[in-house]
Amino acid sequence: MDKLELQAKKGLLDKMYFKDAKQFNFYVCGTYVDKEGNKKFTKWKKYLDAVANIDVLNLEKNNWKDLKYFEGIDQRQIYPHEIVLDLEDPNQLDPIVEILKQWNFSVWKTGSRGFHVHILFNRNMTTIEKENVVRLLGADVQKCSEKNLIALENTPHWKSGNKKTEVKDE
Amino acid sequence: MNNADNFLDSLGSKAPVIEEEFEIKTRIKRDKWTRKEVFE
Repeated sequence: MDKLELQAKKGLLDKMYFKDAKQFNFYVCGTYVDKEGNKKFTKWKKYLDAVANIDVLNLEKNNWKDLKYFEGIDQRQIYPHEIVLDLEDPNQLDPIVEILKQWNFSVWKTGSRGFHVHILFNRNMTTIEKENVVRLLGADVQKCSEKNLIALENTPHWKSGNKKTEVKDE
Repeated sequence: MNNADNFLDSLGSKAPVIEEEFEIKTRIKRDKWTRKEVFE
């Protein structure tokens, strides 16, 4: 990853922390594939410990281990005031967009097969509130847990290498 | 940011049952010595 890419990544994560997450110190981590082909996670760290301390203007000033960890980050925690709908089947997308059309939300192509629909709220949602919404809309309930990380926006998918990109209105 | 309560209302998913279930879950704790689940 070159200097410009690292600066873009830091800018993205900073914006997420200050604007989207409303300074909620979310977890991040990286993924890799072991010798048997299994997906493995690196240690979970919080934004303030793994991102905020990185100097992307003077790369040589960073601890190389911190920089390596930062470079590998491709997952993040779902915010307490956010619901993420994980859709494996693209056919699920249109009916859900139709239901959500009066709300603010964003649709992302995960870089793998499916889509993520992100919805932000003015207050934290309980796990049960999240689960009810997710079940009602027919998505994956796993993504309601605080202990579940999702693919980081604008970052290559751990398996396919394709970036998670926002799908704009068509 | 969307208004969470309005959103839940619009989907019809804000039933009182939800809060009741949530309360019950939080009242279950483990006994310090026996490690058995107990209601407070």
